[in-house]
Amino acid sequence: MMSAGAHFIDEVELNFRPASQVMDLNRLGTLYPYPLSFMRSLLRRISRDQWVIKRSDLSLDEHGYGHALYDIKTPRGHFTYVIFAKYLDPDNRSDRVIAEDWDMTVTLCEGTVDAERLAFLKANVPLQEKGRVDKKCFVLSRANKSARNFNYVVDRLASGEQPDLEVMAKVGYLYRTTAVYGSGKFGLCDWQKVCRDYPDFAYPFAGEMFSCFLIRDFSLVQADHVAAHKSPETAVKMSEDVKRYVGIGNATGLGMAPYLINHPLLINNWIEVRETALARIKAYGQLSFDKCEQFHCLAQKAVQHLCEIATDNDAQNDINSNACADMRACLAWFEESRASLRGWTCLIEHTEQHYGSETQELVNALLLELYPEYVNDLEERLNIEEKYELVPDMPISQLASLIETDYGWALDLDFSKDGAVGTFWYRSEEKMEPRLGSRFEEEGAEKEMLLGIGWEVQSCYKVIADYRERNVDCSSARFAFTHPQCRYIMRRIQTMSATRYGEIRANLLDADVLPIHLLRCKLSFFGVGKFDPRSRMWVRNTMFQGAPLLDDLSPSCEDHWCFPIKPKLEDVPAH
Amino acid sequence: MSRHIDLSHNELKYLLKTVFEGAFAHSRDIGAMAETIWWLEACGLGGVTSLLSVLNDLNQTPGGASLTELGPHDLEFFGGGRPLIGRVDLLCDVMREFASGKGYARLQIRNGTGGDVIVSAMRCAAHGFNVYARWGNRVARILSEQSFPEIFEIGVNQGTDLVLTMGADPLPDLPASKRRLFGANDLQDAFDASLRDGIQVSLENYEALTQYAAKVLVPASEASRQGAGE
Repeated sequence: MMSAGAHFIDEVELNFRPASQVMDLNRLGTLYPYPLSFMRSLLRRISRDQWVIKRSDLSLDEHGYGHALYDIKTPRGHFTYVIFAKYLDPDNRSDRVIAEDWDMTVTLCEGTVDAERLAFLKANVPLQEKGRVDKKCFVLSRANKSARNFNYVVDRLASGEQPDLEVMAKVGYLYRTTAVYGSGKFGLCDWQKVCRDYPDFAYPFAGEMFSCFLIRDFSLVQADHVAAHKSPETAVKMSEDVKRYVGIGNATGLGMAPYLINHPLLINNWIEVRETALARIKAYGQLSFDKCEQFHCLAQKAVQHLCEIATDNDAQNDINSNACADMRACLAWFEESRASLRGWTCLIEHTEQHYGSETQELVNALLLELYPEYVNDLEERLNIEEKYELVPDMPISQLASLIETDYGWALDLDFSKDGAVGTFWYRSEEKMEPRLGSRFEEEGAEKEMLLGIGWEVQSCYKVIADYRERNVDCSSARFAFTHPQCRYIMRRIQTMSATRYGEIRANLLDADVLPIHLLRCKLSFFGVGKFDPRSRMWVRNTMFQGAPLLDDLSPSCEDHWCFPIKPKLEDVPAH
Repeated sequence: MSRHIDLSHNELKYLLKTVFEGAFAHSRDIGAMAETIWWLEACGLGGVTSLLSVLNDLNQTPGGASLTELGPHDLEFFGGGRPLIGRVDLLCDVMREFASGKGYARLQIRNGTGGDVIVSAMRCAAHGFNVYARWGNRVARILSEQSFPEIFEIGVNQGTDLVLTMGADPLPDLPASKRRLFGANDLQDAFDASLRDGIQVSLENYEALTQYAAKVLVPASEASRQGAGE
């Protein structure tokens, strides 16, 4: 549903960036979070709609092990969040999705949880994929301690001191999630049921983001709790400024990548919403003194945020430092030029002429923060019902034209080049985890997943061309009947050709493909920052750092917690 | 101990898709095939049972399947003794195209096994068609834009066919000897309950499907574990 204001009725007149620019995989891998990122959107809704969230049961021993219940009342529902925390042998602690044990396991479910239900959940939730929850649950997840950080924080609090922010800046979280399940997996209820029965969570990944938010809250509660038990006479609680600086870590790997390829309508929709917001700002955003000042301050905050990120990945560190340098230069130009700029489009054009996509997208993300009145209503457009249906009476000549027009990027891929098909995607026997294989060196290519959309489109186009050389034109239905292997890609092409942005433009079969770009793209929509690539296939990152605390959430709660920076030491009381 | 498992719609669709991938790799529209069986199962029409009855024949080479135009409104599909599940979506596509310019089309299906999947053709109603399907001693009919059909038992086996009409063209009359098995509300209720509580699949059937679906999995190796998260 849309709730566009009167200004935006003629969106056909907005100037959208072209798909060739926006859907390039390398650019998608430079996207930053923005106000419609799911976790930002979630906290705004919780604050605006005054959800009542209470820690209703904290049954923890002196080590912080046990269970915790959060009671959640939303405008249209009542839910419980259940956490089981336990001792985990450090040797068993792993971020891998194939891990079998965790420090904390959680579920978000409908209604109240009595003793009988708690026992059922306790028997299943800690087992995660090997357990079986029921259809009243709609999120299942787990998290591991960042043990060194957690123990450090507890020791400091126990001794009456706040954690050193320099230490916290290096690892900005106490716990790290390694999987967050929804959408009907492992006995959970389907997304369709969430939309129908839990409308307050009927936004993309709202339940999953909410789960991460409460893991963050519990991690802070647990740290205070353990410190207080460790040294009751001297312990202090973590200050709220420090707590806000603590996020929740996340490890994201290849499991997320197939989602972007298998849901192109949804991804196009998210991107189109983002681009609509940007186009509105370019069209309607005035360069008032206040907005320019706000942009300047936010840009400086973003630079400081990037400078504070420390990763073990040299390439990412270079990306961040280059973005900082570029942003400083861009700001200097902006300050000199702003009196003469006719609009934000001039700034955007300047970044496109002088800087790479990382800085361009950073500037775009900053602009998107300036005008909530042009952006926030678009939240209602993020959901879409996905249907990929064949248009049976479309002549294949017309289908071929669609491919030439909207999938020219796929036709331009040269699969005869060395390495062009060097990668295959497959599911491992181990928890059906998606993995990448080297086609000519590893077993399993005959079982590859269908993720090479460029290859499939090109293959279909060749089959159509061969057919048309020998036959008169025919309908898509008749062609699919005699070429059933093409039906899936045909209906995908026909459906996506009607969208503004279409597919992610990349050859995912290339030997040098960087799945990490897919991960960062999706994570930007979640609202995640501080990317710490561990390889080209997985990344650690931080969620909710700088976000309001649970007790902060109210209609007057601040929304601008993007680009979190270390709180100033003088703002943090020592005791 | 429960002898069944309650699957979410998503779980069942994914499982079915991997079963079909195990049978066909990507030589068919396995997603569409999975949706066919899922819809039948979610409505309580025994999609999984129907699939399991033909599972071992799924990926047999089609033996002389052919589609023939018998007249301006009539098509005939000869299934070559093979499961209809591999073809029903393709046949629905052809029928929609064939009927849209003419207002009425009929497809007779001969020598295809697992004919009950033809009732999934009711989903053509979403595209503005009135739909009538007959298989074994059963008939299903639905008016356009409705979501669920009525299903009747008609006492005699009258073959397998599919009729699509548009606009004011009436559906074929039902025999007087019919007995209503399911109303549209019955199937809607079943679908809603399956979304609310899950789709109940016997453990035996679940195990059979899971074993078949395991064909798509690649054994883990040291090489495969590298870089995937550690």
